[in-house]
Amino acid sequence: MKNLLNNLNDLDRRSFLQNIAKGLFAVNIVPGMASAEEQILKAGGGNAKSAIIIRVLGGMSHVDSFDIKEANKDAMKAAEPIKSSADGIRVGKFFPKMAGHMDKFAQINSMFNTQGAHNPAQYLMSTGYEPRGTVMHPDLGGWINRLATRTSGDIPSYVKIGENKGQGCGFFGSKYAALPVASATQGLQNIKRPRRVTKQHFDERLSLMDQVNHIYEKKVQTASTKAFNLIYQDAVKLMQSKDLDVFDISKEGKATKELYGESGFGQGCLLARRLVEQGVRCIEVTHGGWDFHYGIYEDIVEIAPALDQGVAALMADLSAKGLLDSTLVAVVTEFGRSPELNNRAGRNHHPVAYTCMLAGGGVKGGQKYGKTDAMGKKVIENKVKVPDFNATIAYAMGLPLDHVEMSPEGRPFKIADKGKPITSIF
Amino acid sequence: MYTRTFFVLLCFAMHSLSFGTIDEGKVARHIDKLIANQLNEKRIKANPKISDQTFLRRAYLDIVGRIPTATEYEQFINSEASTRRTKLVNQLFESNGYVSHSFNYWADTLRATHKLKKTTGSPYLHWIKKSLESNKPYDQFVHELLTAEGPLFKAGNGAVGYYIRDFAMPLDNMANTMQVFLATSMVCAQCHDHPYKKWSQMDFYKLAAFTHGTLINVKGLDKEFVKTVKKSGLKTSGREGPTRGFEKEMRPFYQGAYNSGTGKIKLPADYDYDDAKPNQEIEAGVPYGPEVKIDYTSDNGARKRIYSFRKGEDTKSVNGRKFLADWVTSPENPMFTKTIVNRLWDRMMGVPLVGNLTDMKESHLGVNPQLTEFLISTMKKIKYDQKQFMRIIAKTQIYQRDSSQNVTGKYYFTGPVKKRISAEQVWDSLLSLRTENPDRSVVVPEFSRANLIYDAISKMTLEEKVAHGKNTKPLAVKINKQLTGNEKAKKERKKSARASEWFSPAPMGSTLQAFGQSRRQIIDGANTDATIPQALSLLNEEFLNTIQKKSYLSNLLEKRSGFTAKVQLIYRAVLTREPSEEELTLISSYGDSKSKEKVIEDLFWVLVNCQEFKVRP
Repeated sequence: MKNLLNNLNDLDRRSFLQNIAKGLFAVNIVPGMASAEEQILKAGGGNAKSAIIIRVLGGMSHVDSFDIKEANKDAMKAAEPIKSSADGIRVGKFFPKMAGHMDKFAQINSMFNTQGAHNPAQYLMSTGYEPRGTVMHPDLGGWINRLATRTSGDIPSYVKIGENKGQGCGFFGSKYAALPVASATQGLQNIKRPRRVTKQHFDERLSLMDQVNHIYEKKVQTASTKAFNLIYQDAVKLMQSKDLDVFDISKEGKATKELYGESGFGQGCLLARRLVEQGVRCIEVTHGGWDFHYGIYEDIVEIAPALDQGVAALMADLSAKGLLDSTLVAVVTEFGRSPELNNRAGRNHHPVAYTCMLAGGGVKGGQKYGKTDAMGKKVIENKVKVPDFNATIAYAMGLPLDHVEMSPEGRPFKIADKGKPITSIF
Repeated sequence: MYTRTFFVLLCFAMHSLSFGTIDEGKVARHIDKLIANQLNEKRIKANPKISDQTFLRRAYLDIVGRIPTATEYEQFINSEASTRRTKLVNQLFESNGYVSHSFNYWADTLRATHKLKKTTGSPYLHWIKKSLESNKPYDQFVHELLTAEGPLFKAGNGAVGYYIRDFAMPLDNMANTMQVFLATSMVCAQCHDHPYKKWSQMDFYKLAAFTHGTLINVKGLDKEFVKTVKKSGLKTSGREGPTRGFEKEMRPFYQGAYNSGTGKIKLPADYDYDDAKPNQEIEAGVPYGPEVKIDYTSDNGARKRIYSFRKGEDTKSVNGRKFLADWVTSPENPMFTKTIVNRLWDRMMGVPLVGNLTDMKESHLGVNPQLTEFLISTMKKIKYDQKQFMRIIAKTQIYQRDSSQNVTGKYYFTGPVKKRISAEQVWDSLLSLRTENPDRSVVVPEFSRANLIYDAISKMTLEEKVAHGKNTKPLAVKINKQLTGNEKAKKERKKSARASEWFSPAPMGSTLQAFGQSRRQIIDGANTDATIPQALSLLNEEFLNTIQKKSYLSNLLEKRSGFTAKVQLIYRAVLTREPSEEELTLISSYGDSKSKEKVIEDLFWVLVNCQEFKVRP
């Protein structure tokens, strides 16, 4: 990427990247050059065309899941680590199905978050920046939406499935924000015509609306009215689009549906796979309820199976379909949990050492990156700060880490702040 | 001291004598004259005058934040023509709708939320609403925000939410104070000298010194209580068993903002300029306007300090926040009056008077300096009466002209400027189609639930407090009885409540969020971008785009006889005007093969979805 960009002077480079950002690349920028996006992908070294980000909300206990610590007796006793499909890597017994896919995952055991409360920690994970009172940062999906060209037909580049507590798309505005899908089984909100309104009737209404608008637009035409016309066209196109089928997971066979499980999260993962096939760039699926301050081992058995089954099914399905090379799967949580049990048999927040995982998109599986101490308390090797982690996702997708977008106040921001990608895991 | 107070009071009295009442019409005419002078000079024509209908829709949207109901439309059209505009303006500013709409505006600007760090923000929101309802002078409003001190739950103390909002981010809080109230953007100077403005990091830290030492949410204030609880064998904190919620129930006693500022602050460890050393302690100072001198040997009337919070640091309160508030709100401050005048002009006209709402220069006076100066002096004359200021604008001729579109470059105020209505206006306007009195939900009680809780607990004996910590239900039941019927029934009425009565900000996935309501994370964070979920909700969400059975509008429709009268009613209700001949022809040809009833339904759907509905004319 550097070489390519160095060949352009500063001004060219800026407008070059801006054009990418705006997704305006209908034609080649320089005659004889391959599509600019391909160049960037190649230069960045990333293979990933799409990213599925699984957000485990509440803080997943690392010592009970993917950072097994022999010296941590409580965890060892309760989590009874099991062998995985990767040599020398054991995982907590709560994840028997994911254990079978550890050969595809790189475990980042040395994650470090500067925030200890859920909201700011999740904010940092999703935006790469600490929350500030003066600016609203765009989230990672928003950056991907902005920097990568759309390849998903009528479907937007960024879709968020499940609980949607996000902060939107910051100063990028709603244009780049995720298309929200509250429940994978119900599909898109308001995508169906009102009851009792037939297709023909709906079209008649639309045509009357067009004529009413036409009369109005003889007098009034603003940027806003033009935007609304486009958006209405998009919305109606989306309602009638055959691409919409992608949201209909009932089209999947019984075996596939059973593979993912009945949980909302599992169905969300299934939808995510379908969206990848559609060419959607970034899909987020959330799984909540991991904040175990009390009786962690009573509750984790209730919560873990859905996550375990959903992620395992996703991995199996993506590899069976040959999509794993071009799809980055990230399993992220905002922080880990304290290696010592508290006096209520629970674990508290532990942002200074925890585990997130990456698979696919060129990431080598079956490896661990970074290390914590004997108890899982502190990072002792290759600390990975949150912006580094996000930079790695961007790198995998071949997106320019040094591309600057200005906030409305004229302050400069980048996709992963000052984060450095972990290139050695690819 | 007494002489000085007396002198101030005397000045104040004289001030109100000479400027106690002004002739709003006269001031409005002078504004028109200043604009006309410039337009003549530049040989630009003002926009044409607008119809009563357009005026009605504009005034409702700008002043009360929603469109008028069909009934309100008909009342207006049937009233005495020569005086109806003035009468309407006066009446709208006195309605609850004004409180509701203004609240949405200030909640966005101040980033006020229902959820604050470890506490509820509702006392803060209540304080904002109360201030708007009583039309608190704007300078006093800001002064109270900046000097707020004490427990959040205590009646009248809600303004401390301003500091709690930015818990653990005092520097961000200061940057926001400068942007919101003085349109001075110093954010960059938090960490380094501003790259292309004159502000240095030193300027910023001198300001931050004023509020430094302000404590947010201090535990253990009620030491006697804590002791008693401990003695009784119960824990003061914890979230399980008999002590669960105990700490939470005592929150009214420590949540708040305490100490009024030390007037001193240490520079950051990475301070990199020649004028001072890293970690050096500096004294407060202001970057422009009247100089401020703090007497560091006195407490300058500060309240008793709560306790020191960092070892080795001088935390003596010198009432720094009061010095700051005095400076910010001083009529002599070159930015204060200009900033609010700029904002309120923008609110009514759809375009700022001088420049960016949160970023201007001292020298900026906008395209019409005479107008700006006149408006600034008017604001001082009317003693920062926000409502009166906007009322004057509403009474100008220029406000009553056709609105411009696609304004770029210098704009000489040939009329207001068109804009897409806000998320709240979308919701509240749709509400005006379902109910006869859309503002019914807006009630600002004298005391909020939090105030009542604080009052009740502070009257308890220690034993009663312990008992309350164990079981909070009896108090909750008692307080529910004291609350007005409206506040109690809020939940049930949510779908017929105005946006200002919803959780702030509304949850993701709601109509309000879809249409760009602010997440309340940055100043003026609302947006009016068009998005697919917006279109989908109006196209397909039956609750929004269908005439609800047995609703206000369907009842009205039933009483109209004849198809044309029904079409007319729909136009009046949704677009605040009569259908044109062209539209009537269009509709009758549309309806050829359909039942009349269906045409009316379709027309309603079409008008709710059409462009015109979303534009403030």
